[in-house]
Amino acid sequence: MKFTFSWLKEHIKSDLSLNQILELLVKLGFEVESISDNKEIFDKFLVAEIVGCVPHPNNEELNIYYIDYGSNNLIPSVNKNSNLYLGMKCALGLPGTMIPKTGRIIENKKIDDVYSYGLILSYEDLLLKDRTDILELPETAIIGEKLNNIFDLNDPLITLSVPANRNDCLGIRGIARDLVALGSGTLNDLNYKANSSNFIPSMNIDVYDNSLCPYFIIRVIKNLKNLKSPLWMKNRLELIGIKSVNALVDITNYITIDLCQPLHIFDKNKINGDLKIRLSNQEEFIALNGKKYILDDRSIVLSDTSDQILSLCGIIGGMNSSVSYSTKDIVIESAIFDSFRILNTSRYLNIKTESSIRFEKGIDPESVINGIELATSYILDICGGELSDLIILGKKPTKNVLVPLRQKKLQSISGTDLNLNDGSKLLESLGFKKNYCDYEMTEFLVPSWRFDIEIEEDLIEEILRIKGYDYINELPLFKEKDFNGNDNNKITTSSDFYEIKKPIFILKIPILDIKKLLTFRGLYEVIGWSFVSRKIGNYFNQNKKKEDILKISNPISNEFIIMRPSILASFISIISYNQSYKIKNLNFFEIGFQYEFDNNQRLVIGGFRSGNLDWNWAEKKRYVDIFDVKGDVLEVFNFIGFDLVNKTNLVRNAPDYYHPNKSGSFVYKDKTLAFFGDIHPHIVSEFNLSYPTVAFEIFYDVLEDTITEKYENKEFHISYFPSVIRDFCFTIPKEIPSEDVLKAIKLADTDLITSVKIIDSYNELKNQIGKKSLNFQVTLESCKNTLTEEEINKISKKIIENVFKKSGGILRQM
Amino acid sequence: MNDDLISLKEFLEEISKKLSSIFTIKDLEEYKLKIFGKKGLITSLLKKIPFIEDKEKRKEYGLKLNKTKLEAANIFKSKEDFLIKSDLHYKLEKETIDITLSTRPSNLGKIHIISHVIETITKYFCSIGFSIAFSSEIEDENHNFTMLNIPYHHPARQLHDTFYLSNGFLLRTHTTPIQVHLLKIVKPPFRILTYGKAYRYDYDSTHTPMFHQLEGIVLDKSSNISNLKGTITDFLNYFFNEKKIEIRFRPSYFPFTEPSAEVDIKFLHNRKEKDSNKKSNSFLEVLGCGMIHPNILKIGNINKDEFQGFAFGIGVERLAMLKYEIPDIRSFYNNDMRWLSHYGLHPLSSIRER
Repeated sequence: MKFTFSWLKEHIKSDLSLNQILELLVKLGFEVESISDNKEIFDKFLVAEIVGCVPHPNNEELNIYYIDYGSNNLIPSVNKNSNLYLGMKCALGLPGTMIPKTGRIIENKKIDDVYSYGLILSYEDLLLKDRTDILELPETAIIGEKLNNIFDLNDPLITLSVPANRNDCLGIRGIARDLVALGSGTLNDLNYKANSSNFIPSMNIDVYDNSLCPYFIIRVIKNLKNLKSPLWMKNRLELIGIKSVNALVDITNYITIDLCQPLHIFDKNKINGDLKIRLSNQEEFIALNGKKYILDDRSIVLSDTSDQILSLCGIIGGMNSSVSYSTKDIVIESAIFDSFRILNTSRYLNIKTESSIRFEKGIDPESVINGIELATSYILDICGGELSDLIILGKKPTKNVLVPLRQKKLQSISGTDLNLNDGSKLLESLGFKKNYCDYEMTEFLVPSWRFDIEIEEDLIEEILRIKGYDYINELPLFKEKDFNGNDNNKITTSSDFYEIKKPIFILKIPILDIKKLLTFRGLYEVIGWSFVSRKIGNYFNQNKKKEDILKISNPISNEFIIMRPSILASFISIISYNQSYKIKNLNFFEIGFQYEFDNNQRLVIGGFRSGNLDWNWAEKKRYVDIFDVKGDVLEVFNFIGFDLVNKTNLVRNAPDYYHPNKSGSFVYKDKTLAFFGDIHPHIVSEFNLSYPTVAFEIFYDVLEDTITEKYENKEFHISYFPSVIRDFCFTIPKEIPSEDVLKAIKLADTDLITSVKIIDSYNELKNQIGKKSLNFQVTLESCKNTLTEEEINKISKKIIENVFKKSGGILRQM
Repeated sequence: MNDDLISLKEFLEEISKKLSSIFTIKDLEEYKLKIFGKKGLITSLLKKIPFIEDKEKRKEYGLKLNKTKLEAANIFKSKEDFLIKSDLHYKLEKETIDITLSTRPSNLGKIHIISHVIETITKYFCSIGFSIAFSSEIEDENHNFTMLNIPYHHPARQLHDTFYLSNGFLLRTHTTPIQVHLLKIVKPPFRILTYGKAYRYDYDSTHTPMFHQLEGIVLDKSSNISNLKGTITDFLNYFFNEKKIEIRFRPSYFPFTEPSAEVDIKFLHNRKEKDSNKKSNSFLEVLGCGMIHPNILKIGNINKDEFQGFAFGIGVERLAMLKYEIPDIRSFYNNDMRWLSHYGLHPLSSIRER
């Protein structure tokens, strides 16, 4: 809602300054979005009059204007032949003054050999409007005075954000009413003359259904002369961003903003016969904005005897009946239309006007008459003409909403000692009326302009709004046994909440700890967009079926159209962004949701590494690889206390956005716990990712399942005898997983073998096709004695035997 | 035998002289062998003793020779000590390194500032009895709007503010739908906190189509606006700990709370120069709150005269931007590694609040 300070002051008699008023508006619950005050700008410029004009001798496009600015001097100023005319009052900048728009200093200069002094300023120069023509001042402006003294120009523009429930404040009158309730002044009476009529109009009006338009008033005015609006009205409208058209159009717009009562004026001579308010019927309609609309059968329209649609009621007038400078006779309309239909029509035709936004929320029935009378009085003042009687259809709707207020409730909600008496006074200042009262409650009649008051709590809010929130003390929440910490509260103990698909879920594993763990492994936390482009989305669709992808029907851009089917999908744009800045060594992770068509959102821990790990003189350069991300996965499970190696199967069935032979997944009880591996080279080249690129995904829901596994607490004895280390080197068929061999070795003696590690691995062996070589280091330790050579040999033999049985592997001589 | 005695004295002098030209342990050992070895000088002199006829002289000479032997051994010992010491010194000297060389790369990532801010806030509210619960980011119109008392004609329900999904659902525009889910299942009293992503059709320097919201809900027999004010004030003072702020409650409108308020803060010390001219001197909106609307309580069949409570919603990015002076909200989601490294936090940063 935009309005100017002088406009507000038409409604309120108050000594308060602009800043004081702004403060009160905030207290009332309006947000002041912006305030423009041009006082300082206007201080530097003078009022001048154009008293003479001769053509420029050397340039046909220019004129030399003689300007009087009150110092008994006439100065010549060269200007383009635009909207200047003799006797026009304009704004003059003397040499040395800065032009607000450009910051340039005005100086005297020769233009095509003719001296030009000072500068006549345009609207744009003074930051008034986006218009390049010369600023026209009112005739009453006094020559030589500072521009500052012309109040209309120096009228601060206030932009308020009006809460969605306060449609009454979409009129300046409504805002003034709220201010008065705060005690900031008195409300001025609406200033219109009693309009006496000259004739009874000969027009019939037919309303198809009263519910479309419960209250409809028109008046005919004959023999008027449509002119330009007076400067004050033009200025106010243009300052708030409404284009001035002509007096008649401007007056309707003015009343809309002033009283929150949209009006419409028709050229009477363009109407055929009588008026009819009806529903549209699959018709075409050309609106005042020049656009053609195809109406369905739900919109309220006003048509004439020939059934031509004159206006889309409450939204926009028709081209066919619009007023112009040649208009002589008019019909002026003020009404209430069904707000739901206005809303629907405005939405499906996508037309939003100052009128529709007011009608769709409902308007004060009292302002229907006020609006038409005030408009009439402006029309008579500006355009003259003969008035008809008002034709009134329907009845002024009266709601008579009664809302009770109990003192008990007032105090229990507000936490104050406010009593009913205090409350009543504040409500009455807002126009509420006491309807009934007894010792514990008072019933209030809601004023006609308020549509947002229905229940007791609404009244309490009004009371507190006027009283001010500062009046309320600050108390902490009470301390109760139930609320000590979050471990014994209902939510966390009820098993209802444990399933992630239920509407409410909790996270049993502290996500933040996992984040910290991963940062300790060198990964940065990122937060990617939940939506990705169609192309990326398709690449990362795990279920392969296109219809499984969840799309946004009204995306903000093509980059944000698919709900990511895998968390890795949103990593692509992160990688591309950083690569464009030559940052190619990336190590990051995100914990967030991926989305499926059936609304299942799965929490995923996703990580990504590319390029080489950070290196310097001490640490040699090394590319990241699949075993970095496999390590990331294992560490997360170590943290959970879950034995990933022994309790899961490691298989090769990662989705096809991974490299088919350099990826794997951990499967636990038929559910995939995690994927890891190289990104498919196909994707790497498609998105120009730098090589190597590896990633992992851990599925939180399955991760959470694993914590129900009992953690086995094994007894541990420290050995006081020296341990023995033996190396074994086996030649093994290539397809045998090293882990199988490792397990076979461990099984040779589960007590004495305390660790087995692979210390070397060769995939290519000379002269041995289909074989690989693995070197193991085995540590043996006993709690009972120092191991004898005999014992060691016995275990070694068993190891070799086990490996052969499991894999056909043969010990190589080293 | 006087000659012999004198020669013993000279003998010691000669050793000293000879030693002064020896610089390595090896040479010393060699020379030592010449003096003390089986075929060494001392041994040969000792062997002479039995041949001295005069008993007295033999005794005297024996004593003197032994004394000389001891003295010689001492001279050798101190020379040896000296050589060992200087040898070590030389070795240590050789091992000198440049301690200003950098260490091996630490390879430590950082926590995103959004996570950190969420942690800071949840820690606070958990300490005053809140528990944490979540609900889905995908909602239907009913839960996101209608049941939250947001009527069809409310501006928030216009198509251009909400992302609708191809399956007929929508992306929640706020975390408030959790209130509906909660009230259907949980009976008061409770204090619950939720946080997560929400989505709105908006993209500029102060809005992103995806953002984080944090919401608290308190429902019991007596919590009122006074408690709401106290809770929020205490929280904001905690959150902006070192920065002195002024807090303002101002009436506002939310369909799901009545009465409703918005809370503004003003920093009382000078902020960065670039925005010091205007913004730092004015109030900045930080959160919305209010008493839970009776229509919301109806969802859980809760008698509004028996239970009452409040709710508040916090824009996580907004709070982070204010506290850490981050000018553009879009930078949270660019995931520029340089930005993440600057604004990100050490995983154990909790001891030193930035």
